[in-house]
Amino acid sequence: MSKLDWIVLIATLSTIIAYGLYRSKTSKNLDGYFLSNRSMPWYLILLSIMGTQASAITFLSVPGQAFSDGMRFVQAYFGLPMAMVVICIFFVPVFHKLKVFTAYEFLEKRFDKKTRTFTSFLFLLQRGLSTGISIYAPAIILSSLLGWNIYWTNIFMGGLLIIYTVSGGAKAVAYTQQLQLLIIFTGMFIAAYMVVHLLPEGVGFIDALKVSGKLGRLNVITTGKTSNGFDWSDRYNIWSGLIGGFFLQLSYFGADQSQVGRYLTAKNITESRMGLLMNGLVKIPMQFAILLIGVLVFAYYQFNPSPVFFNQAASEKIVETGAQHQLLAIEKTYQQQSAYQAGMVRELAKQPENPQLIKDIRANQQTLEQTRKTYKSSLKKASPSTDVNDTNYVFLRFVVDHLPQGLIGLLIAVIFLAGWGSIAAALNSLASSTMCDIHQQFAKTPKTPLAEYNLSRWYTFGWGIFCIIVAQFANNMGSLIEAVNVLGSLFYGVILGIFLLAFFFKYVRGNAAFYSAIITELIVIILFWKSSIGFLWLNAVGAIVLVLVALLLQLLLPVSTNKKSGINTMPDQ
Amino acid sequence: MSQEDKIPLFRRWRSWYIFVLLFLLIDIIAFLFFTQYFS
Repeated sequence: MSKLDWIVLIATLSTIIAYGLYRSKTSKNLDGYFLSNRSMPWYLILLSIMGTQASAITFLSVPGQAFSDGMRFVQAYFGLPMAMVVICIFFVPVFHKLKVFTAYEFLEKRFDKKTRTFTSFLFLLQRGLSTGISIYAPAIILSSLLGWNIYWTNIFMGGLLIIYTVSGGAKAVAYTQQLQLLIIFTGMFIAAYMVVHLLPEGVGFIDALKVSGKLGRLNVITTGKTSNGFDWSDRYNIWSGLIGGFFLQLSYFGADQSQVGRYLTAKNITESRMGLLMNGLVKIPMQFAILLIGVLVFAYYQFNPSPVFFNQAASEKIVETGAQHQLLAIEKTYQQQSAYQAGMVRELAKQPENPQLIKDIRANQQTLEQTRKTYKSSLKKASPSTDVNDTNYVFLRFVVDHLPQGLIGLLIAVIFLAGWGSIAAALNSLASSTMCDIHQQFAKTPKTPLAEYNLSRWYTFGWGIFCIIVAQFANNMGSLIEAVNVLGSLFYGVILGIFLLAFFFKYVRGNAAFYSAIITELIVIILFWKSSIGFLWLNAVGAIVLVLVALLLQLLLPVSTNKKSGINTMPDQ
Repeated sequence: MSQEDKIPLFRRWRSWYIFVLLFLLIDIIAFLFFTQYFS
């Protein structure tokens, strides 16, 4: 990186930290620290929700995902608008009326203390681990690009955002997310413009799309159908997106404190609902736009020779002479194939409907992909500890290799800020759940509001340290965005199932809910471990199985041992 | 209706929900055309 890039990067990150500290003034109690005194307007709720969901992983992995697998990943978000509507109707009014600090507090009011504790424990486990990955994601950029030690980079990455998150709580998180998103969208827009600008003369945006489309990268809608029927192991298709994605998003926005904590900071129900519904409108186009950047990068590398492997630092580590020669030979072959492809694709831009040319390009594309596979398997053989999945490196490698000075610094800052937005919200929610769902339940002596406020800051700090430690072990996880979604899917179905019971099955009581949650969690883990079912389906399976098991248990368990719920969970119209 | 209950743009929340779901449908139809046009 040049001096200018460093100046841009450091200036951007420093501005965010300073702004976060400037916005840190809150009342020194839990209401101020975790809920910003319930004062936020809808547009801040929207930006906070978006900033929490869109992590560094989003901006690292999604363009790479489009590069290697096309745009069908966007289907994973098709369930989101439906989930927003359901949450607005059923969840938001109840959470606001009960004035809860966490989503799990509602479960104690509806069921019992053990169900609240168990659900918050699942949340803490899942969110703590996935936040560790969210710290690791931007850290790999620095370590790979600058040759920094990954362990120290994780500590550096996680440490900076802890400063303003500990200091200002939910308010600092929301205000910094607002500024972060502004910088992120600006940076990504400039990056997209630059990719198109760097295409050969006479080749425009539409030409790039046509080439990508011919090579199967504009497959936004896929059905998952094969000659043998529906492919249940296919991760992204319209049905897994609408059904599995609905359950995943319902669970994420309705039962994950990192999101619930954002819209609980709203002034009233109207502001919460508006923030969520606006998210339902803008999220899919936003994901589409980020994927489109990946497709444009793919098109760029069709018109120009591309690297055989995008994580250059990993292949440079191979020092064993035999393996090094083999890798260099494969790389040379790939470069020849890539140059041949570039020549044909440039010709295609002139005669877009030439069927023979399209056929040749597709055939050569398969050869290129096969050569990349051979390179990766040789690399893995030479260095078994190397992660040969380079999806996360595609976009950054393009940025570093082809964008001008200054813009590289800005784009790296974008990745950092996206990471900080989601990590900060996660730390805030982990601390709020630890304080309200665990500490306050089991602490023997009641504390003053000031003591609780100070302790909450310590919990935020403690979770920050925990997540950095997890980040140190996050290597070898392949596509990081998938790793986070897979991890979420292991627990989200069960957490959602408990909330569905709470809202829609009034006669189910605490014991049935609690034991069905334990049974279902085991079933979901076994399914993930032993079957090849796509992970999005685990959300639906977990939620549905839990409800069925709970209904069965409720028939078997004596009603007298359960607490009767007096909470009205039906919506007001 | 109090200030707090005043819904922006539409008179009822139900209209907002329908609008969001219609928008999803339009997204899917547009993506379907997009996929077919560029394949």
